[in-house]
Amino acid sequence: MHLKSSSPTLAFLSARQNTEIGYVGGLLILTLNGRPVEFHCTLPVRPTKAQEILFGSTLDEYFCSDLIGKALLSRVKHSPVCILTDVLPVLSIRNGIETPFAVILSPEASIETSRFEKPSRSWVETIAFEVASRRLLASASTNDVNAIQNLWNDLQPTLDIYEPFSRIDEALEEAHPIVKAA
Amino acid sequence: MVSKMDEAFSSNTDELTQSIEVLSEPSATFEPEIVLIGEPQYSARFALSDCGNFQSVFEDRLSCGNIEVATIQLFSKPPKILGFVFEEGGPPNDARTDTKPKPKPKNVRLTNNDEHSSGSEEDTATSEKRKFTRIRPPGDLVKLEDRLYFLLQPPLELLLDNQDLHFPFHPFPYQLEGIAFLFPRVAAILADEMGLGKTMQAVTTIRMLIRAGELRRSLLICPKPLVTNWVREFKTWAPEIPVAVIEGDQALRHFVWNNPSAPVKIANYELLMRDRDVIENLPSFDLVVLDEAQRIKNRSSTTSEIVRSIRRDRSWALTGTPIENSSEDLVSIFEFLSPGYLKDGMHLKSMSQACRDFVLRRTKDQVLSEMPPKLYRDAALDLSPEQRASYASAEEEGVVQLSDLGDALTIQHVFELVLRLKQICNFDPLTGSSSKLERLEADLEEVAASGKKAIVFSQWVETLDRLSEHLKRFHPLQYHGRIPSRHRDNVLKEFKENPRSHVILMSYGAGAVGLNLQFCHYVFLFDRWWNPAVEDQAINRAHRLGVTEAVTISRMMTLDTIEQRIHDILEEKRELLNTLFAEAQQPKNLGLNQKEIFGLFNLRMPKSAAA
Repeated sequence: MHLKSSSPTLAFLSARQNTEIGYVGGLLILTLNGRPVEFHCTLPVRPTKAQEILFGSTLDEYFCSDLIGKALLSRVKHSPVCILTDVLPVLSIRNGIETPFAVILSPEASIETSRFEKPSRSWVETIAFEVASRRLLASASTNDVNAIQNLWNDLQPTLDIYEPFSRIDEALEEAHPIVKAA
Repeated sequence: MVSKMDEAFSSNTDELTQSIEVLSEPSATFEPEIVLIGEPQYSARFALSDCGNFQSVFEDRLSCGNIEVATIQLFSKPPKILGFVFEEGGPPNDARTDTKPKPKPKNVRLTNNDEHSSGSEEDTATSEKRKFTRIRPPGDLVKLEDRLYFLLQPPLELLLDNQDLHFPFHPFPYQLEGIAFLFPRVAAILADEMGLGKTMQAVTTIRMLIRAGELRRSLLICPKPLVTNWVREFKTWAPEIPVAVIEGDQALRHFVWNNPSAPVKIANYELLMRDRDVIENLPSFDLVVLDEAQRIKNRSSTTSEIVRSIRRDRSWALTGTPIENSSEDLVSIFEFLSPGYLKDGMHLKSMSQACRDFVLRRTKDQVLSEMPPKLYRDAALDLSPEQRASYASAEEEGVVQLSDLGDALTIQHVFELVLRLKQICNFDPLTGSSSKLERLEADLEEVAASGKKAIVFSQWVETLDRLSEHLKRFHPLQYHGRIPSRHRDNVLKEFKENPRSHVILMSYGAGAVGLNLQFCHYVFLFDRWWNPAVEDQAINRAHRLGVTEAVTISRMMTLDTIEQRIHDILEEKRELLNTLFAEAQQPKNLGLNQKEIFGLFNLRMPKSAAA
């Protein structure tokens, strides 16, 4: 991923899965006060029967992280200071990038009740922490917890970091009406 | 793992039914090799990453003896991506209306990065409980990039939190929805019921659009008596925005029309005709807002023609009564918004569907459940004996005269009789006797005793004058067309501040729109207007945002008179508005048409009138 340097931005990466259409993903780049500067979304990708069988519980991770996440981040034009996701299986993408990365836990859901049907069992060992009154998870093998907390203290973004995911949801439905219909 | 391999083989080659055995489990070592062996002639090699993902099928085709082995392709191609980059501080050009690119000021943003809201952390902490209001793209916005631009904007609550916008109070949720409705639209009718804050919603949206760099030249047109009200509302809701009122002599008006420094200009309908030549030569406005847009319901009027001739990119109409008489009123407003979009004679259901995306209408009942109620206390009164005698005589003579006119009978003749009879219902012309006045005096005693204030509406200034004489003990004030405009604000101020003044006497024409009299808890309709929308406007001078108590409305009507006959028709007309915007069944009646007016006296409509 080649990220150009620009004014500070935050990246919000999400993916959705539906038995009818497969997987779609969206990446929203916001200024620190929540204004959109970039949005990218994928067309739906559907796993084959063989993939469903052979990937098993790692299917979400493969599609959300290796396929969708990497493809979306490769298109980024404004360099984000950190990347946030609401989808745990995306966390494994952290291996291939240098930008601090964290999973935001939804107010209601735990890891086990994420938006995906199958419980994710990510191989990444995580550390829970809190930013802007939200619970987050970051890879234990990185320094992302400190990095993100420091970023927040320095830059003081004024947005609710969970709210942008509902924008991504609506934008995905707008871009792919079939997502809404499904 | 073994069972998965079984499934995989089975799903790809029916012949592969033998058991397989895993020789190597996934480990932390990158890409450990797993060799699956069943019968000697069947084997395949898979590799797993250390997180358990299949990384590859190493060999395209595995040849074991003479057996062809199917290859399972496990990788998917990267998905196709749609990408959009937005200009920070302004939306993409609107392809529907912009034929030329609009220059946008640089670095104009909705938010002030230098001054973070001190309450933002607390707000964020509680945001889980908050309901967010989003800007939705209008239905006729086709380009996906434009639609996504609006969809991806932050919720209004966060925009307002982040900005250094000073509001006298936080807008109600429905008001934010109104702002979200207006913000992206180039053609819109905000048709909220009176008293819900259409002015505030329009001012705040204008403020946000100016900050977003989308508006540089806006024109607001309102009835003359409301100009000061708009100026006051801008000072309250958008104090940093310069507002220029177009008034004074011709030279001054011309200067203001052409003054580029004020982003918002306020004009009144009455002066449009005088300044027509100037208006037609003005450069295009970014936005033109019509307040009380029902003023252009007559398409052939000069006012309507001039308004429609103003060059503009965005057109908004504000009105609590988009339909006063018939659905043609709405068509007329759309001639300003989007000429030709609606047509006369459209089926009501089709019209309702067609205008759905352009019109936002909320009633108090829908959005302000906590607002004190309106209590209707209809006063059905018998005429005094003197009034009854005069009334019977006038009606009998009048009907005979009308009948004698034959085909020369016009609707004006009928109106004259209606007005004469209605005046008798107010006061007996010979003795001054009035059953309504007796009732009003009794009610006002109670109002004054409780320290409250009341508004009395009549359609005649002469009636208001007579009432003023009889109600002196309540220190009445008058507000109508004969009170000079420059004195009207003082009248309202005195009425509000003088505790001895318990009643203000208003004409429907001057007092029905735009005034904030929510400190009044009683409204008397001494006589009835021709359509219920105007009556509602009058009632909502008192029953509006900020009212702390229930508002009692007394609609005075004399029984077995022309008033009662009109009342019955008015009730049917009231259903029209509800029907059109509630998508209910066809209304029973579209209004007081000519046939009905003639029918008030059981007169046959002459052929000439019917033609």
